Order: sequence, then structure tokens, then C-alpha cells
Amino acid sequence: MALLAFWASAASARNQQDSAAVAAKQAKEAKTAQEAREPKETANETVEQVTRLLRDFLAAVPRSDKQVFDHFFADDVIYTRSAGVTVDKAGIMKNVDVRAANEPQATYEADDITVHPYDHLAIVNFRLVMHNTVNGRQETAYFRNTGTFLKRNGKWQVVAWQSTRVPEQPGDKRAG
Amino acid sequence: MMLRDFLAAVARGDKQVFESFFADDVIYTGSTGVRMDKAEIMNSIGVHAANGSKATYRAEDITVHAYDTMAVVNFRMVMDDENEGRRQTAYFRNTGTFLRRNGQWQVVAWHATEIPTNS
Repeated sequence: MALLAFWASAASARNQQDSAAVAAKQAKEAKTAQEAREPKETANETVEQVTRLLRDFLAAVPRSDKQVFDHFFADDVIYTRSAGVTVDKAGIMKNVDVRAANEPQATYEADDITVHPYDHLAIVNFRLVMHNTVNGRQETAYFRNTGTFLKRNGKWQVVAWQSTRVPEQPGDKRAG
Repeated sequence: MMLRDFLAAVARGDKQVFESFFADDVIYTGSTGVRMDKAEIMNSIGVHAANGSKATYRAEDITVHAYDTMAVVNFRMVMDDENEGRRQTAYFRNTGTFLRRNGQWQVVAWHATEIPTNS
């Protein structure tokens, strides 16, 4: 009886392994089929697409349209602000109204943009230029930003973002 | 873990460790907001060593989001240093994007932001 139990248990384990292998194979085939349905972009197309997404997003930020933020950032994004604080998607969405209240006249643009396109991934590095009016005075601030874009289900979204304020006069190259 | 091994090795200024950790096409932004490529990262190792830095580095509060052949790593880096006999600690929030190519994980993007001491 104990021997039977052993064989039954071994057979069950084997069946589970077989099922897992079949499931893994099916998942791989499904992924390959999905990739085949999604035509592969050229590197230039990726650069154009994510650059356009970036510029459109920055132009839309002053409107504080939550739908724009919701589309631009993936649900699993990790976002680090220039103050060194890391927030998730909920934190980003919450901050839309805060930004609108604190910096109602601020506008944003990107320059010195570098895009490194990979398969379903793109790294975007750029200088963010923020124009603002404080107590009637025009002010401009600069931030160096890095975004990691991932293409899932045919849609590019940001899965990582970090910003660092660029001093007026860049100082020593400290480690970091 | 690659990240912990790398940070432990940084203090030694071992160029080989930097060479294999960062991809040739990495985009690196330091905490001063200056962007560097791989060649500039490699040059900065010599500068760091020449300054006689005794700084050591470690990671805490690590978050990893793993995707297919890519991973995003976010963590707080703690830098312990000594200046004129006084111990100093600084904190940086870092994000790294790792990409797996030809069976090897390497960093293709790295970004550091200093966390103000009063926060």
C-alpha cells in the first residue's frame, strides 16, 4: 500500500510537471503569436514614437488632464521625483491636482533628447525645461530626466521615471 | 545579487566590475544632473580613486520590477564617507534599468537623485 501511495504520488508529481511544461509551452506560443501579430517597429520608428509621446505628454501637463497621466504611466510605474521621493501610479495621479494648485502657470518642454531603442523597450533621457511665473517674475528651471518605456499589448507606457534638478552651475561630479 | 555585489565593489574602484555592470550603450545620470556615457563612467573611476575617497556604498529599500528580459530596480543608496576625520552619510534614490542580452544582465540606464538630509 505504501508502495502504491509512493507511485501514485510520483505519478501525480509527474503529471503536475507535465501540465506545467504544457502551460509554459502554450504561454510561449501565445507570446510568439502575439509578437507576430504586432509588427516589429524599426529603431527609427520607436525613436519617433516615444519622442512624440514625450513631447505630447509635456505639452499636456499644464492642462492637468488625469487621463493623459493615466495613459502615459503604466500601472506598475516606479517614479522618483527630483526631491528624491519615490511614488507609485496612485502617488502620481494624486499629485496632478497638487501641481495644478502650486504651479498653475508652469509649462514644460524637452530638449537634448536621447533615445536608445531596443526590442519592446526604449530608454529616453532628456533635459526638462520648466517655465514658471512666481510673484510676477519669469523663472526657468532645468531637470535631467530618464524614462524607461515598455511596449505591452501594442502600447508604449512608462514603467520607470526619475528626475534630478540640474543646478545653475553644475558642480562636482559626485557619486550617485 | 548583482546590485549588492556592484556596490560592494565600487569602493575598490575595480574597473572590470564597472565594465561588466554597465552596458556599452548605458545612459547614466549622476546626482548633479550630469549625463554620462560608458567612457565617462570609466574615466570617473580614476578620478574617484585619485581623490583618495574612502566612501563605501550600500543599498536599502530595494524594489525590483521584473519583466521578460528587462528589470527595473529602484533603491535608496547609502554612502558612508569620512571627511577630515568626521563620518558623513548621504542618501541617494537610484533607478536602474537592466537588460538581458546574450545571457548577460547589464545596466542600460541609471539615474541618481540626492535625497536632501532634511527629508
